[in-house]
Amino acid sequence: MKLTCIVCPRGCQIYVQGTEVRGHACPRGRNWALEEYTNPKRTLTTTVALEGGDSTLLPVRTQAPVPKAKLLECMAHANRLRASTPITAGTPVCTDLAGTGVRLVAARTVR
Amino acid sequence: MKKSSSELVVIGGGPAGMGAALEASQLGAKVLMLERDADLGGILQQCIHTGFGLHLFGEELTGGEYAQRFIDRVRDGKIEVLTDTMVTEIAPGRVQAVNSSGVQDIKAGAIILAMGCRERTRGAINIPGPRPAGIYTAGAAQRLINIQGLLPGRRAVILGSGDIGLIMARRLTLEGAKVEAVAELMPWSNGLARNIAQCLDDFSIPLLLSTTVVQVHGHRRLEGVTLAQVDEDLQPMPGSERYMPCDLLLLSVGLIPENELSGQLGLEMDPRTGGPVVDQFLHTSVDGVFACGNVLHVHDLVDFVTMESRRAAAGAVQWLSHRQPQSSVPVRAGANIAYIVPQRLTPGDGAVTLLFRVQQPMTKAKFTVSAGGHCLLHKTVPRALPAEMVELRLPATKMPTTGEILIDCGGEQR
Repeated sequence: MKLTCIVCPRGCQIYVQGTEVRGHACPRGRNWALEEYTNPKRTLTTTVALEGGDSTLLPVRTQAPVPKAKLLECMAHANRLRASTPITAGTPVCTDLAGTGVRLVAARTVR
Repeated sequence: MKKSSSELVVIGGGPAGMGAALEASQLGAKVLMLERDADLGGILQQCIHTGFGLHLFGEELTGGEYAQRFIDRVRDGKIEVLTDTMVTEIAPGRVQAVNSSGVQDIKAGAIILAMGCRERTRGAINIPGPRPAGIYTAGAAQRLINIQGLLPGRRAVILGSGDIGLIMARRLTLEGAKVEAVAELMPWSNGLARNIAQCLDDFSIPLLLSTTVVQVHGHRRLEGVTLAQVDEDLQPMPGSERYMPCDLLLLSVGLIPENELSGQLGLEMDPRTGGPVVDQFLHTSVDGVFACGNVLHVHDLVDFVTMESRRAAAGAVQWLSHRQPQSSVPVRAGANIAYIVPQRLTPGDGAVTLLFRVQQPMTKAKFTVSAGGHCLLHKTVPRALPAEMVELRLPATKMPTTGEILIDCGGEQR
């Protein structure tokens, strides 16, 4: 399988067959390619409704990558969440996003 | 009019302005930073996706997180910051700005320009047809979605495959809109390979190369666009037209350095970058005026903006202590080089960072830096793309004091 590495802006073309990996420029790329081959994951960033401040939205990110196939379920869950000010970057707004076991955390401090 | 003075005035509170202000302050300069928005951070605040900071911090931050690292230090430091403050007039050694307390007249020892860039619009690419609602630049749509919580359409076509267009294709999809296609005029994409993978391929969004929008349809609201394939001269080919229904057309068709103020200063400009001509200290053609970030040339990554802003700060602080006249060696773009920054070198000690782009995608690209027919240095890379800036370091020992420097790129065209 031919993959475009998304670990860094370099974007290596990586070839994976079983446990054999070719074309990566760094160990992170190799690990990413093996995981992409078996269980592709992505970090999700989006916004959730924010109450009590000047801004209406809080940018959020998953603390770890979530399975690619569950991205839209994660979005549906995030769209039902609400956060309120004050909130510090890194504070979880949800401890288990769409059953993935991954936390969704604030990506911005809003006072 | 309120009068004040500052050793160094930085115009713009985005990544370039903050990077320059912090570095200059650390080097001992008294800095005043002016920002027209209510918050610092510039366009980073609406970039909620990750991918920032890998070079500088070794981790993948969101735009807001990257900005926050600088904002915290700016706010804690000795830097004077005026937000909601718009510079209206500028001359060498003098800046006039307006904010809620009135007109500020500021005497400036040196000035660093860090105003960033703006998006090219429909007018810049002459798409014919009516003017219905539903046509936005990609960045405007990004602000609507990520800051204001408004979805500008449900069925989208994106013209231009630069990174902002690709990022918005994913963002719209995640928010429930259907992205029909990303059309790109050139036979290659100007976005990073990883953004094509994670923003288009992940969601099966087609990338249509050598394709453009030749007509928009709809009167009050956009109803669709006509796409056509283009030939080698980028002209639409008759018979290749196809109609695509949509209520949203996003334009991601390039960025232009924001140089309205530079015009007032009478800076020598480079038509290829759209920014001022500078030397390796980021010193423009006007004494005491420096430039960095996207106002100078459009960068691929914010990390590179920060690195450049630090060089501008060092240049400005050095100039403040000994105002040496500039004598310079021009740097010229040779075969297959689109532009080079800096455009001239002032002989001095210290290595020089040369940044440039190729005109066309190349494999086995061999870059040669030469002066008077003598090769100063060369480097071969497996591939070079117009979307990826190339960096070469010219050691101080190799810097010529007269004549001119030429950079060219050989290799195989893809």
